[in-house]
Amino acid sequence: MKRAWVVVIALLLGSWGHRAFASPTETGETGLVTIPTTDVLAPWKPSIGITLDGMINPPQTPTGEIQVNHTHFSLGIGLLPNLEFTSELPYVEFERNVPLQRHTDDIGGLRLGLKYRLLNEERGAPLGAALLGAFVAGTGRDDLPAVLDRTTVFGSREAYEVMAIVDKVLLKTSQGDATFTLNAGGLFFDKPSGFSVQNQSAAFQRRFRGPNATFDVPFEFAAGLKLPLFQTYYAHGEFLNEFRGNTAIVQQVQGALPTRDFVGFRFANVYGFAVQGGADFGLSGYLDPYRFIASISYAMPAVVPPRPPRVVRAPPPPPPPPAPVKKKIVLRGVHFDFDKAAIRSDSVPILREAANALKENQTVTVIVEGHTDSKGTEEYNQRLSVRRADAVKGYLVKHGVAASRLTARGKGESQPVASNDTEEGQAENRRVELLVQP
Amino acid sequence: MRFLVALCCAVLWSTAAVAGDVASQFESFCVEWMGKLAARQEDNIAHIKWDTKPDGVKGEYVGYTTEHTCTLKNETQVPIGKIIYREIVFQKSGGTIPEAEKSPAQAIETTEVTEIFRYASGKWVY
Repeated sequence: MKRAWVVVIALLLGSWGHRAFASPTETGETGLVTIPTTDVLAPWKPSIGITLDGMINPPQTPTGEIQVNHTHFSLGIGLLPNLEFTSELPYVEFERNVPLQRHTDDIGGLRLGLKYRLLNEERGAPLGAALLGAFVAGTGRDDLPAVLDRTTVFGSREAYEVMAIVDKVLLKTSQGDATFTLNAGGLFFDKPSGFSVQNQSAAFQRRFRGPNATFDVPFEFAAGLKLPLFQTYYAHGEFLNEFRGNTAIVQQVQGALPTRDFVGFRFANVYGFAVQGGADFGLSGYLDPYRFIASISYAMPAVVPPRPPRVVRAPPPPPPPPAPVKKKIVLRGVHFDFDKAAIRSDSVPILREAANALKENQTVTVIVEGHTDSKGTEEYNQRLSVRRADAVKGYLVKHGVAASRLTARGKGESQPVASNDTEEGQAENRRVELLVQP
Repeated sequence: MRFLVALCCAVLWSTAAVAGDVASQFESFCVEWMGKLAARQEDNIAHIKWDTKPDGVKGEYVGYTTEHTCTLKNETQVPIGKIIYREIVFQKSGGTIPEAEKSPAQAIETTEVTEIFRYASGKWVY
């Protein structure tokens, strides 16, 4: 991880440092937009895009040129797994001041290519690798550069391009992958017919610094770094830094490589729409030190990932099932004569009510439990509670409740429900309970 | 004749008045009894007997639901009142007694209780 960041910082510092110390050489254009990666469209999935770039604060040059604006239309489609057809239409507008009038020239080009992915890092390869082969044609005039996507050439000409692409995930984060991409390749074409620097105007020669410029076999290279900024289900954002250059023209004219560095951002959504923008700095060998680049594109995704389930806090575990509810009938106000177990007549309505309740539920059995307050000794209260429980049982049996359903027992003063310190509490503790057994 | 009619009316009136009095008394008694249960629950919580073991402390107390029904059976000579509520055995546990005291109580046993009371000498007897 540390090594990855060292690479990133070195690239950034390197590109800016180069920019700081390089001197503009006023030599040409490089119409590069975004360096190719090893990504390949899925079969029969199309992509389409448009990119605009123009000069920021264009310098006044000896040629009188004041604006150079590039427009790139791109179209691609997946043909087979790992094979993609790509095409581009670069279109360049030169706006120049010529004596007494402002003059605009337009030139264009065509690029048709195939990209084949050799290795796919997502499928376990040590890195991603792809080959790009293209036929390119420029419709430039003899006195204007024809922009063949990555390289400026002159005249109307055709060429073949071969490029190797490698990329490597440097770091995986929760917001996406940090990826390094490397491109290297070249254009092969004949010298333009009827074109020579010597035949060009003095302004053109000043622009390209002399008649000795040749335009053969430019070697192109690019290195890109993509750093994730954020990632949600719907969208992700990236920081981009792309350093690139070629050997066309300038190396032989100036001995200096024309190089540029793009710094920008890209935002894409899950449905394949993306916008990208940033500044493109001419580091060396360029007339225009600053350009802006903006693009919008659509690439049909192979699969729109399913929306992840919303993260919700796990519901608390369900409470344990409640224990079966027991039943208990507490007979209050069942009075006995002092020290006797005989039920007083005024308590009969209570027992009658209890007997009726038990007769309505013939299936249950009942424990008749006598309780006393704490007056008297423990042994005495125990015996008393047993005798009173027996008395209640006797009444219930006499009034129609089967004796087999009833069990009498005494608890004495051992289970008070209230304080025995007050008369009121003692009254609450004197009771007979009918514990219903399921 | 008029006297007999007046006497009947008086008897009916007084009977109705007594019946109404029993009902309103039971209503008040019912509230009072549930108040006793609430106080009993507070007392139970204050006097939990903690069972201390190497893995922690555990204690139980008896509580009562505030939901209840009060039913009056007034057609017999002796009015009978029933109060029905639920008695719940709660358990608290924790590493220490203070922890256990602060822990939420878990209900471990529920009993539906029907208490039957009788009315005698102008009051509800228990």
